[in-house]
Amino acid sequence: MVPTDYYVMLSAILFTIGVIGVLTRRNALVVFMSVELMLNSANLALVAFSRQWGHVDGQILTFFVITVAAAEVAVGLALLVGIFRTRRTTNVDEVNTMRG
Amino acid sequence: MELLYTLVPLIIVLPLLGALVNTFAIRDGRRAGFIASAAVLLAFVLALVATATLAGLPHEEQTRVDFMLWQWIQAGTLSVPFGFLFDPLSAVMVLLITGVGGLIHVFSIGYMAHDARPVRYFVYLNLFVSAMLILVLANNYLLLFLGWEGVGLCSYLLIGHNFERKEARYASMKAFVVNRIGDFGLMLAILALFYVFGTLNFGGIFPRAAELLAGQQVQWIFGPTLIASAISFCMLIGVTGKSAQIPLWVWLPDAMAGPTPASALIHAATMVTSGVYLIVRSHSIFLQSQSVSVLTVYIGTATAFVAASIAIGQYDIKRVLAFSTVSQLGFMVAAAGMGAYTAAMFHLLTHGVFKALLFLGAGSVIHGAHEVQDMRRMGGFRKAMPRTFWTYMVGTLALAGIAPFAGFWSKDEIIGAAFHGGRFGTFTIAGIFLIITAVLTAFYMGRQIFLVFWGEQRDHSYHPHESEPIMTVPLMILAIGAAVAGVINLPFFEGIGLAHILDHFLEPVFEVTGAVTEPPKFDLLLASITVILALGALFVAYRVYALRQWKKTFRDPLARVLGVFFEGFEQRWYADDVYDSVVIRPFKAIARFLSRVFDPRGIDGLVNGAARLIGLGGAGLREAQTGYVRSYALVFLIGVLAVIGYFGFMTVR
Repeated sequence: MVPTDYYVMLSAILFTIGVIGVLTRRNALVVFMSVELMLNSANLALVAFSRQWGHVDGQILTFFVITVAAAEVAVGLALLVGIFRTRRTTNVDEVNTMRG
Repeated sequence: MELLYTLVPLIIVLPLLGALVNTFAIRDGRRAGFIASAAVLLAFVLALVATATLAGLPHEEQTRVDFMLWQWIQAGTLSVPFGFLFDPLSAVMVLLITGVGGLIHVFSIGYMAHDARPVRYFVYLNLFVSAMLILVLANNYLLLFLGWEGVGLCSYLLIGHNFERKEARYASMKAFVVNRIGDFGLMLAILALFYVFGTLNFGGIFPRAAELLAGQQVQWIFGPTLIASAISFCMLIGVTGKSAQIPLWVWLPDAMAGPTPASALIHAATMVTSGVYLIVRSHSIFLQSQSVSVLTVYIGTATAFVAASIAIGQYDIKRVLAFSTVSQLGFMVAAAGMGAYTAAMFHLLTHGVFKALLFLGAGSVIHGAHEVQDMRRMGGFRKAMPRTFWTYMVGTLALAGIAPFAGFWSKDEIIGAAFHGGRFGTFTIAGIFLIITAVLTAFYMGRQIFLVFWGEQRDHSYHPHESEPIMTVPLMILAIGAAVAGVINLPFFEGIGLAHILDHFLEPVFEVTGAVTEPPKFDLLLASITVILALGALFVAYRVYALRQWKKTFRDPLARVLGVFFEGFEQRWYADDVYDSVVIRPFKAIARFLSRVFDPRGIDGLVNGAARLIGLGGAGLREAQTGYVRSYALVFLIGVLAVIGYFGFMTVR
């Protein structure tokens, strides 16, 4: 059996990749995908711990995360389409009208 | 006695009612005048009845007509009734106020006939009488203070009656402000009295004063001081304000900007004497403080002398009388300081009558001379206004202290008290100065009548005429009073019950506090000296002023003889200039600094500075809102890391 440590490490690596993606990429779609990566790395960790301790709590929480992520993607992509229609761009650095 | 409980409040209510009716229902000046006069004269009749009732009571009952209408203020241990004390001292004051006041009201009907705002004038006059009656009838210090402030307000309103004229406006403000300084002293005295006695009622203070104040000391601005001295000193400040004594006397001469009858009532006969009344009323406190009483004597004497000297150098007919009033008030205050309280009250009463007469006479002269007030432009009015002339002569002789007119008896009693001594020993120097003042008084009054009534008219740009009977009749009544008022306290005729009537009448007031003294003996030598000197002064005035025909802008011949001294008299010893440079100008400079520098830079700077600081902070924080999603995300991440780091650190530890 693969030790839980490996899962957790993989999860941490995936999460870090996600964070770097959110912070460095300018394309809104890629930023989105990075966020998804972070969410799923969390899911992986949850499932791994669930198996480790023999509880289903982690798996149940994972389902919640997947559901909420789906809803979030629906809203997020709709916003993205809206932004692209009005501003003809998906570059997040160009969408700074809320600047103080 | 029950009758008095109804009469006394009614005496106060009548003039108040007159003021209300005139305020709300009357538009016609003459009608307002009749209503106002009727109210005060009716009050006088009631006062006569009340006094007669009081005189009929047993001796020790006469100070017990002390009753409460309602509870006025009730807070903690402070309990102030709205109550009145009608004792012989109040009674004589009430008689003077309503009697002389009534005549002045009647005179005003004629005098104010051509005024722009006669109704307003009569409302204020009635209101004044009411406030003055509250002052003298109050049975506690707070109610007395209400009257004290009330008369001050009415004085302000009446001085400023002709507010179109700049000097009237300024004079009214001056009177108000200077009086306020004095009132502050009285207020401190009242607070101290409450602190010591726990009550403000006369009945709770005076009989206990000797026992509670004797030898009691307190740490004060001058080091350890007798409590009695501290209280009476504060009261004395109030007295100098209201009764126009040095150093707060400067407002009274300017107060002559008001209508002449108002000057007669407020600034000669009644209001300005309330300081003297206050001392006599509070005599049991003053008696405990030798030092302040002596100070009172010298303040009064100095005021009497200085004001009399200034009166010599004035050309305005009313101003001479104004300084004369200040001077005579000095006599009363000096007498009150000597402990010769009856003498002070005696002079207060006679002065009230003859000075009102003189002021109304001056009013009649001014009225008949078409508002001319400069005595140099008058002359020869003897023929044009004979009734005014004769009554004025009586007033002059009374003021000059010529026997047997009223002023002689009262002034002589004060001078006698100075030489023969009383509770605080003799005051020889003060007495000598008072005699000199009496001589000066005779001189300036002689100067006045010889300039106004003798010789030929010097300025022919107007035609003087006699005033109508509504003005001359009050003058005649007052003239009779000024001639015979001395009978209320003659020093002899013991056998037929005429001697010392006032002394005996006021005795119960002093019995309560254990301050009764023997009525003073008559000193024939002293009286003869003062009368001869006064007659001499009148004669000198006749020689100087009556024998030559002056031009209408002549300079007083005394100026050549007296040189700089006369200039001092003319310029009121530069008192106003001194106050102007010592008090008013620094005060204005501070005010200007505050308004032009401190307010815009200091106060506004503080407020605007706070606003600008917030604005700057906002502008700085604004930079953080870049609008870049990624930078927000970074901040978010840092925040998360910080939280995790913190909890991680805490757990490991």
